[in-house]
Amino acid sequence: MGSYSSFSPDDLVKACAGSKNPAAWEEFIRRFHPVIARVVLRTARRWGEPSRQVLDDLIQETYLKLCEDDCRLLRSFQPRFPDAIFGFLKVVAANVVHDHYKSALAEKRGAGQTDALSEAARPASASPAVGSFDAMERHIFLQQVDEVLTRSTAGEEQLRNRAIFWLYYQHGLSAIAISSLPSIGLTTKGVESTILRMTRMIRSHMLESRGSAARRRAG
Amino acid sequence: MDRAPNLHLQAHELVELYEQARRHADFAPDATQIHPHLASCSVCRELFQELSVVENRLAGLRSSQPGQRQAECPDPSAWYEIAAGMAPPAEALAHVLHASRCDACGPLLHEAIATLSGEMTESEAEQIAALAGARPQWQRKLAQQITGTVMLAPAPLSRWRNPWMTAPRLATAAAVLLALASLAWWGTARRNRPLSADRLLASAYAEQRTLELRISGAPYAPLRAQRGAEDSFVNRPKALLSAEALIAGQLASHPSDPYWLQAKARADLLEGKYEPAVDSLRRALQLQPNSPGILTDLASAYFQRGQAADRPEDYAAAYEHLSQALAVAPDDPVALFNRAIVSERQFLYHQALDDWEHYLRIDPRSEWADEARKRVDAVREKLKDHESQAAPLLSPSQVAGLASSPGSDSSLDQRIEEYLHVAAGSWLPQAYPEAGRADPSAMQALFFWPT
Repeated sequence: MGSYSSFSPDDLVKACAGSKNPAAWEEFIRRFHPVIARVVLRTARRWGEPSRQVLDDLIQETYLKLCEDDCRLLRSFQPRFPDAIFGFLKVVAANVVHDHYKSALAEKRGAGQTDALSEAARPASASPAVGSFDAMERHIFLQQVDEVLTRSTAGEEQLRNRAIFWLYYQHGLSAIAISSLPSIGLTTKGVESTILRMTRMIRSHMLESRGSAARRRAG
Repeated sequence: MDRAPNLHLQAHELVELYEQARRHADFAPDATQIHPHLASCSVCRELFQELSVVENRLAGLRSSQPGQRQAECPDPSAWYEIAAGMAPPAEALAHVLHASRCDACGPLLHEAIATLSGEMTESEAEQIAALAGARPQWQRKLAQQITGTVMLAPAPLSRWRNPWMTAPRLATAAAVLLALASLAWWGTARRNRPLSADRLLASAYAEQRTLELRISGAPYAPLRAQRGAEDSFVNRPKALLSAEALIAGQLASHPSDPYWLQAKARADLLEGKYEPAVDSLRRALQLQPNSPGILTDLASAYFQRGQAADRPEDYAAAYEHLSQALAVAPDDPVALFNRAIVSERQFLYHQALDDWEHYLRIDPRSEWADEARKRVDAVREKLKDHESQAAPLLSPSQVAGLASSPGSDSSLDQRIEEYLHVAAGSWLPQAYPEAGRADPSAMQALFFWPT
């Protein structure tokens, strides 16, 4: 055990994927248990209040998923950045939990209805009601703002800034949550600064378009 | 911001004033107290107040409910990969931008971030610490299960008459057994494993035996017609329906219990659903490697699937799993019985005969033995037929002679592989020897060879 505890996460994964060594696996489970258990717990809670037994089973199921087909998942894992294995394990754990509950739901209501049920289970579309005056006004405003954002920069930076702006304003994500997305590539401070800059730009743009008209009216 | 009071404020100046004022107050600021020009200029004051409207409109953009998925929306599982950084960066950014504007995908991305990111809260830490999975013993046992180092081989009964088994050693063994029983708490006893599922499945098997192969614990029943997955549930034995209800309930709370996975697979086998049976048993086998019972049932699932889908490779998988089961438990009557049948299906009649004879030594008197004897007779008959057909092959001159009598080469066709083998190995060297005289009859046989 002592030797495996000094392995880097990636080396430990390689050791487990390439062999049936119980000491390597024991270290693997010991090291990654907190991250897998946390994701299993959080994901399962989205489906209800899981019992300890169910949580233990789902955690165990996650390890078994990793071992399936001679550790196919672990063998195919290619780290794109340091400690990428943690993200990889989180995704596997979340998928195991979702699959478990989806299949339980499908079995309960009859096979082959999974998609239809999940669609039907979703609440109706966003308020305000589609086609209402408020909805149209919101849509127009969204378009106007997005046009300003699109004109502000170009390329990948433009995509990133728009994504940040809308995640913040349309979906209420915090700067911390947005910065946790690796594809955004900014720190929390960087995201906050982007939101501030974009908001300022929208405000200025809105005033400029209204200001010239107001000043013309006032002579 | 020093300027002549009569000059209008620029948009960026108004925004700056607004932001400064908002930093000091949560509510809409009073424009007249912010700047002297705003107190005197109604146009700029109106614009300044417009900023509160813009802010309210921005705040009003927030989606309050998830929307409907559209055709261009990525698969919901993609958001977890994106949140974890598993997707390629360019693709991920395009998807994030989509989610940022989509009322269906935005909440899913939000959910994925909330699930995968963020520190563990105190309540989460407490809940996780209370799980069995947090214990080193649980982790060690799982590591052993994963690597297949837990072996569950039954001890031979003769051990009890072994002089090694002295009283102190028996006491130690009892203590070890007790400890093992405690360790197995989470696996079996804690789950209140009822035998009723086994009994129900065995009863369903016997009531309408649709499988040529046996499942352990089931009493003898004559083979009836096969059941398909599309068959109405009203035709299913009541015991099977009861077992399915019981298994579904237990699996919901014990999704990774090998016992219930095996029970589910048996129900699937009886239902004619072979693919899910294979899946469940493969999972069960991962949880309990080397279990003869699971290996035997997995072999049955492969065999049935092979039969239903005409997949000969499944017969080979069935044979392999039964051989593994017999390596652990060499006298397991169900595994022997089933391997004999699988061997027959693969035309391995000698191996089948060996297994039948082995089986009948273990179980010479039951009704299953009667079925085994009938099968032994049938296998012997086949072997006899085969051997009777195995008359000596025709000589090269006889083959050449057949070429002159049309329609008389069916005896060659029936044994074509044997003739090909001889032609390559014997006739060809005789017809075209490296040294010495060539055999003309071999040359003729090759020349007139019907293929």
